[in-house]
Amino acid sequence: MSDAVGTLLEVLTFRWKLASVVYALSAGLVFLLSGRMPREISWQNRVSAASASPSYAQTLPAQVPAAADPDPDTPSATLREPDQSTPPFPIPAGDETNMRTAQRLRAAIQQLHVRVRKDMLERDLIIEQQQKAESTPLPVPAAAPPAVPESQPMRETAAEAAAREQVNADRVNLKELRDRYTELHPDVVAAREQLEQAEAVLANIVASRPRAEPVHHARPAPAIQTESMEQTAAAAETLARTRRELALALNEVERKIAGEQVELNMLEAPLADLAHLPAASAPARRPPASQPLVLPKSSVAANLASQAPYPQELSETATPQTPAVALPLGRRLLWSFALGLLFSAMSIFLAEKLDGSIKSAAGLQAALPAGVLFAGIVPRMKRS
Amino acid sequence: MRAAAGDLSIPLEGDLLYSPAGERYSAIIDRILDQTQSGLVLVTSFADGEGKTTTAANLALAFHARRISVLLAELPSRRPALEHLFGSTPSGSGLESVLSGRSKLEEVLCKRNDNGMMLAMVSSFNPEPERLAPGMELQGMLDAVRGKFDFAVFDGPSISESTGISDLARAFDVVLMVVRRRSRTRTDMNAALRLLDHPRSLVILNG
Repeated sequence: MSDAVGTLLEVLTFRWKLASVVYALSAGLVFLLSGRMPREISWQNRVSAASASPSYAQTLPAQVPAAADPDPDTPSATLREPDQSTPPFPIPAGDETNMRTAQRLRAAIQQLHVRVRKDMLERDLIIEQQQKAESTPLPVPAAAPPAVPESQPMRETAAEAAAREQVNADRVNLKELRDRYTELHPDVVAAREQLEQAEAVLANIVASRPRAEPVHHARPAPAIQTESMEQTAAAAETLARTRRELALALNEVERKIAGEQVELNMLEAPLADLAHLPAASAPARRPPASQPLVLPKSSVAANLASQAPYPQELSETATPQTPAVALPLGRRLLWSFALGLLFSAMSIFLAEKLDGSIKSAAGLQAALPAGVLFAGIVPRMKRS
Repeated sequence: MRAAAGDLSIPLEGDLLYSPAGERYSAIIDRILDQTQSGLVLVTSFADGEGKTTTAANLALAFHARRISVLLAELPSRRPALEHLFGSTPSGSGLESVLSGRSKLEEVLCKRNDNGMMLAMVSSFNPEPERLAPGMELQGMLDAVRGKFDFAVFDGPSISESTGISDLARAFDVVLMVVRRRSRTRTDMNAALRLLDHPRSLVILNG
């Protein structure tokens, strides 16, 4: 033990200049560098980076306008620093707090999934009703009632036949389009409007069809005929109104689902950054396989496109800002002291390893060639 | 023969001879006595500044403490050092005048006032230490010393300083090479020992 201490003291005595220089350099360097250590990427910047991903940007709602370039016409425009008050889910430092935030996010996502499923069921119901309404033909004025035998059956004119043919063709076309697209597809909307117009034209033609010439042996019954036509027109109007209401309701539900999907993406994006946290009691982020949540992307896109113009035309990916920050002075000094000692000790160790000089009597005796004797050690004398 | 003057500040003086350091020198003397009972001892080193002058002086003091007739002498070199330990020679001429034939050995010997140990110093700077090659003058001087003293400790030139160190070493009975700790590698030491090529070589570790 005393030998080891003596050796250590001897080494320190011999290498104190080297150790001092290395300590001063390394401690000073560490002190300077610790004053400019890059800060950990903040949550604000992570929101900015996440919002720049294409998938997120496509569904970015208007609630985050500051994260996008307000001028989509400028191709080289970059994302600005997000508004400090904009991100709705600030995640402070610390895993414990992040755990709570993640649990809150997962609960909100679960509730959103429930709402989305409910709205989708409602949408399916509306679509079913709409299909029934579309399949119901518009009532046309029927032939003269049997109570008026003296009236001749009404003859179909060429215009009426053409209009009816047009209606049938439009129905077939609408049906084909509905098989391929949703109700919000522009082609579907256009086909539906065209069908409604054709049906209105047909209804007008039917309503304004000239009466058949009454036969001589029978007297016409104008009051009864007029009443029947009015009822038919009212039924057609009711049916058309029902269709319009269903279309509006469907549009409303689609819009609602799209909004919920956007909100869902907003919740899932920050949750993805907390994926490293354990999710022991967290609910599933996705609905179970038995009830898959599949939203038609076209409907979402159409929904977004129908809303107010969005400013989030992203032209360049955002780069997280990592400005340099300084550690506290006490911590910097502590790190400088510790690392300075470490580096100086390492330099001494390295110098001792690389030093091939004779350091002890044992080393000298081991290095002596044959025939040469070791006389002894004399006390250390300073150089003259 | 005159007494040497000057401030004596070498490690082994008076009671220090019986100190732990003195015991170490005494042990070295025992090793020398194991090699020979009388003769000439040359103290050298790989390079200057490794402690050969102090070692030679303390060895001579240790011999003297044992009541052994001893001469502490210094061979001409680029850095005469005994003057720094014992003061300048009273006669004004040193051992270099004996080697050049201008003086006799008895004329340059001086005796210390306190303990009576004999000294033969070099008085001036010798620009040509290579002339120490054992010629008639050096051999004659060594023979004269051998006849007067049981032991003579010569503070010689360093090995790197003198090209004829091998021939010079053969004129001595024992060669002591001083190695300063952490100053020489084993390669340097072995090269120096091969250059000396002396059958009675001893190595002293300084430090």
